[in-house]
Amino acid sequence: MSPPEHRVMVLYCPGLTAPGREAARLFEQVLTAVTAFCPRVEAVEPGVCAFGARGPARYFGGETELAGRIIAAVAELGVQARAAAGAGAGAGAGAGVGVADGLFAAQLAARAASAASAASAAHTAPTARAASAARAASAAPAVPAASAVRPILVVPPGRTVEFLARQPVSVLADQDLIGPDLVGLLNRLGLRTLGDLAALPAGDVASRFGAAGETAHRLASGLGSRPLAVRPPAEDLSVTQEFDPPEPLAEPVVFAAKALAERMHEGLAARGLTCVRVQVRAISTDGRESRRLWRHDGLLSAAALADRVRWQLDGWRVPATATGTGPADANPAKAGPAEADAGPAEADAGPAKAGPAKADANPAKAGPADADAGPAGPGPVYGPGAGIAVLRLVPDQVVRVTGHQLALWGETVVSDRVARAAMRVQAMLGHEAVLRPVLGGGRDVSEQVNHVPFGEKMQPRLPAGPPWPGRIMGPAPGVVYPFAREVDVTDEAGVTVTVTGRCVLSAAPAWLAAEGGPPLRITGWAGPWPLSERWWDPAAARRRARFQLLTGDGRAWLAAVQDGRWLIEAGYL
Amino acid sequence: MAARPAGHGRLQVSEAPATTSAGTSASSAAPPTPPVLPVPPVLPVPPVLPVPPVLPVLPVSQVPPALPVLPGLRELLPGGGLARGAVVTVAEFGLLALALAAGASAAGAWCGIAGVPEAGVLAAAGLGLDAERTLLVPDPGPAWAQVAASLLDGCELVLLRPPARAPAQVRQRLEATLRRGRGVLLVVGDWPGAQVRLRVLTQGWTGLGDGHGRLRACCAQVMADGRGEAAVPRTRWLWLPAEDGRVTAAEPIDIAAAGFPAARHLRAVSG
Repeated sequence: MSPPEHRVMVLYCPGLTAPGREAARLFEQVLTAVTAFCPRVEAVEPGVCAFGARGPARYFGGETELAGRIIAAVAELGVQARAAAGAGAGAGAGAGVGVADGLFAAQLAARAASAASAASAAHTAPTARAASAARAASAAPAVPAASAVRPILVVPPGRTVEFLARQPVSVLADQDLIGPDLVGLLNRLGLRTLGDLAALPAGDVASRFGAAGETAHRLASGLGSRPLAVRPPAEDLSVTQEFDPPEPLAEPVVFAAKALAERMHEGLAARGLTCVRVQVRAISTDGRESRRLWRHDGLLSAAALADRVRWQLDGWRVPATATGTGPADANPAKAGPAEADAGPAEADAGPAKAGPAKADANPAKAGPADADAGPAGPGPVYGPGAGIAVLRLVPDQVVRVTGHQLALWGETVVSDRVARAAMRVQAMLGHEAVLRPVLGGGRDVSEQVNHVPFGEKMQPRLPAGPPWPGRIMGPAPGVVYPFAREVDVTDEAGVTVTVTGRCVLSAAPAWLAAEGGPPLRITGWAGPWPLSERWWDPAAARRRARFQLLTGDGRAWLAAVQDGRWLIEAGYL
Repeated sequence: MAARPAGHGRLQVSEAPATTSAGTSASSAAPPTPPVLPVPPVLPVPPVLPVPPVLPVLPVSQVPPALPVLPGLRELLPGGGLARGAVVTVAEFGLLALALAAGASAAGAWCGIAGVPEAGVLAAAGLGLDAERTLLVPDPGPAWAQVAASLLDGCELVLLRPPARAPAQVRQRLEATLRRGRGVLLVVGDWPGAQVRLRVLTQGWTGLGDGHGRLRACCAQVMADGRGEAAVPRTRWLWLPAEDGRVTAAEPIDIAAAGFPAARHLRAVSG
């Protein structure tokens, strides 16, 4: 039983109730925004959060005032989210706030407020007690024009039962223990509103409808709302170092990163935690930001983490080469990928600055900065006056420390030397750029090799254990094209060879013509070997007939006919 | 060295009493050597290289000079292996390049493969490559030279196909990195100044008929030339791979069977 003075405020965002990553991310932002008003918030379900209203309402000058501020904050967030994601429904679209005694009534009030504001701009909430007056207009400069009616419904203290009595019984349908069956039954029995239900004696309802009926009756009577299960706000375990004045050299930043990493490790260790990954964020004075996640698994020392920061700062310059090929072409005399680093990086910072004036400075610093072998590379990374302003280490996926042990057998130990090399390349090209092959099961040559980004768990997609009938026997092809190449296979008369559903060939293949190449004489062939896979799954089902073709130049090919098209999947070269 | 054949002979005569006399004579003639047991003169080649996958970390001075290759490829390379610090080129990507990497990997080396998204890891694994000790960088992008240099820090062998023709400056910088480390750079394509250049001259697959059979083995003629020790071109016929999946030397009779009527002639020309 909730005490009558237990006032609960509920924020309901109808746009964020759908499951999905984007909605969850936006809702997390909403929660953060609400935490600014009240630190202890319960996320009831996707798109709905609740918190005790008494304290914050007193502080902000009333429940309506507080609700108005929260709506404004969320609406502002929604505008930003929409601008960033281009999504139709932002976080703030149609959000409603309800205040009542108890969670259940407050949730209903929030939904009603949201629906009312969405339905019409002029129409106020059905209870006529909606705080529709825009008294707190000062708090909402950034609210979109749609909220002429403030979607706020405050049920005054002590009048929650009255409010509930008018609600239809259908609102019980999504409650725990009460299903749509019971709601339908109540409707058929003539109990249209919660008031009708609450008017019945509790004992009779319990004996007729069992536990579900008892729960429904208690909710309808304004009782039985569970207390809020608020969680304290997540502790901020990230550590930040600001550089004032901004640091133009990489080396001092790396040095500071070591101390910073130690601080982060201490903070985690004091709570018995470790992180699976750590995000390193560096913000330069010209507003650019470099973010990268690094595998941590509780194994990185502070020095190792500082190394990651160095690689990231080094690598920050490399992708710029990919985008800005112009300067590299312009200076053929000092061609090569290395010295182009400095040029395009500055081109990003400001097109006006990237000019011949900068090019003068380049050759001098090209030498040491991009030698790439030395650990230093302390050359000026950014334009004059620019530098790293903020370095931040954010632990990602915080988990309890359970220790780490290698498997007794069968695990190849990746030496530090190899791991460093791989991570250096990952720093330059991204996490997915360095792969380790894992041999697994499957019928195709491409299926049998799975590629796992370095640092992640090595597990084949298909188990290698069971037999895979339908594999092509014999030596494996040395060249496996990531994307099969479409070719034309014709018979002596120049007609494309076809394969029927019963694997009958129209004629013996005689010529193989790849796009843009002269046709090759087929001197030997075998097949078709049919393969019908995963017919039970329409998305993954494949029916193919495979061939081995030998061409006049001594090379052999693995070809397949799928949907009437000839594809070269691999080459025996 | 002089005492060794003598001890050998005595041991073969009688075992138990001879050990003492051999020991005394050896100690007087030369530094003491452990008694040598009679060994059959020719060891049968083990079918698959049973090398433990442990790479001892040695200081640079003790690093063996060359990375081992598959037995069938030894004759093509000066010193019978891939000299550390050297650039070896293969004209086109294919089984030959994978076989070169596989030999080193089977002996415990880490291999990096950069710029070859279509590398058939399964075929390489069949030749001996240990997939667990392989790093793939399918698309190194415009910074490929830096990627290769970084990989060379960790891997003994880096198989690289540069996406573009390498300017001399980039090549020299990469070669300097190579000499500092102890790796081998295996380049697919052209690389001026490479120590060894390998190319497949002709190849022919066996086992495939006209509508029947399946590919079984490939007979290939491989030529090696280069600079220094490798300056004299060498040409060998190889099974790449043989029916049992290994890389072995092909006999003239095999070559004729593989459908090369001109094999004898080619062999005579190549010397």
